[in-house]
Amino acid sequence: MFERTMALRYVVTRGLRGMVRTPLVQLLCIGTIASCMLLLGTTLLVWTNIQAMHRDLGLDVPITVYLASGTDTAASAELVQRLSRMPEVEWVEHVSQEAARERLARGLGDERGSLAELDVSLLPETIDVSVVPDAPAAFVSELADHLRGELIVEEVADLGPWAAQAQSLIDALRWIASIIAGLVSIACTATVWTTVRLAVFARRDEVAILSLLGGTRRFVRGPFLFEGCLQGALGAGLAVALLAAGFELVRPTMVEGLSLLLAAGNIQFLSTMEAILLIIFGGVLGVLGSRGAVARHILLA
Amino acid sequence: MPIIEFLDVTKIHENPQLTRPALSNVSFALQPGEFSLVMGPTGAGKTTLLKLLLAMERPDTGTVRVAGRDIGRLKRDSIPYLRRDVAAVFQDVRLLLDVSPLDNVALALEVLGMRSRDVRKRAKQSLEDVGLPSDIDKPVHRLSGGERQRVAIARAIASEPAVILADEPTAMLDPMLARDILELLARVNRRGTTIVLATRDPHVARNVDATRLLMLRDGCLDDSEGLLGRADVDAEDPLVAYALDQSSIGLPNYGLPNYGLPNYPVGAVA
Repeated sequence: MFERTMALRYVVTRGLRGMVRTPLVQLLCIGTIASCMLLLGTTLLVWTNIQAMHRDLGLDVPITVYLASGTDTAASAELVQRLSRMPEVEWVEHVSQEAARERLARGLGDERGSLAELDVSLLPETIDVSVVPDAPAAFVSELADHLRGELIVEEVADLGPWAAQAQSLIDALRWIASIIAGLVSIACTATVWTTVRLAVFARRDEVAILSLLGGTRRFVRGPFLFEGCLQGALGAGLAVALLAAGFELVRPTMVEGLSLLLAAGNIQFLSTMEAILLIIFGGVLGVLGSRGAVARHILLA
Repeated sequence: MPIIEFLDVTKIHENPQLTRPALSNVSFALQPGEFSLVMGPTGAGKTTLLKLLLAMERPDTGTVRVAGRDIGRLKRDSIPYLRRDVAAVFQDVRLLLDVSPLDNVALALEVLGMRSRDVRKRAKQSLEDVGLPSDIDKPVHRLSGGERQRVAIARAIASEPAVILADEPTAMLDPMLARDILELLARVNRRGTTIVLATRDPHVARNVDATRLLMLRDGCLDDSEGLLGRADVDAEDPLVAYALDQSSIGLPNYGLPNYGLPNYPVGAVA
């Protein structure tokens, strides 16, 4: 245990010392990774905001059933159950008046204070119905017509083809984000691979000496893996910082220009968890790149 | 129990230009604390023998045992642990040239996972043991050849290995420095460390009080009687002359000039 702790300490200090020795190479590597991750972060940011917009505008709910005032809870629950049993229905959610108010507040973002005086009883009680992607095209309108005949239903809103088009846009963006993530992963891994390969060549004497002195595989390779991990994480961290700065710069213009389109006018930066995951992702790519380089170029006799 | 044992070892290098094995049916055993001299001309198989001892190569046939480990069956992950018991000193020193002697010696101890303060303490002690000031802070590339070789020996002894292998450690040094280094190795040996010194220089052999002579020629372990019986032996060859001078192979103390080194019993602590 103690030996492992000392070995870990050695790995960190030797890895940092190795990086300090070649500052220009490190800067280039981290800068390249940051550029790639910036592209990925931007795509992620656009995708999450469009998804949020899709949700806030209710485009993910092609059918909204407005229940008549004073509807019995048991009756609405029975309707929810009947809808849930339909194979074409993906999910059903009963939205109470309180939940409707919460949803409205979330959509208004910074303007949510204006709801303080709102009487919650004025908001309708609804049931949101989402259908599976491969449901027949006519299903939504047929279901809407059927629901209009229910006694407890006051009105049914049917988004029709809009919902399908919005879903197609989301799907396309998801594909684009996936492709960009794949390309970025390859680019970051290759960048770290090349940098670590250079480091291995520059320190090949040290590697040979460590091997002769009885350095274990982890001990010899560890500093390079740490170096790769740090390069990836720092690159991703830099990308997140640049993205945040850029977001704050363009945010006022975006909110002003797109407020009507967005209806709510509320665009969000990545959550803290998403930003941390992006940095961890960078670190993992760094480890993968450096692991490939050391496996290929450090051959211990 | 021998600390080093070769049993009918043959090693063939995959080089089409070589028409014979690098080592052929070599057998010998060294007891702990021996000072063994491996002699032979260039290409005789000295370095191959040392590489087998360090598990840098594996025997094709036969058995090599070092500090209780069978090199032929040693797992890859176990090699580092063997090398903590078997240190090596090379002609080209193999030090990190851009760092201080202390850092070089400390590296051998860091590998063992020692505490930082213990590492510094023992590294300083090792440098002092080889006659170098422990506070020397200039990088190794600014040291003389003799000083570098001393640093290499300090690094080798720092981890207190059971065996030290020295491959032509004096080849690039002038005679006075070479004698100092040999004296240093003899001193280390007197502490109980087994030394295997490979050289092609008979003058080196005359300056050490070895307990064992292993004479390699064309990959075979020769003895003086064997040499006498061979028609192709050149009696003028200094190596042959040296080997023939000895009373027999494998007996301790050949009556070599001692150059002032006290003749401690093998294994005694100086």
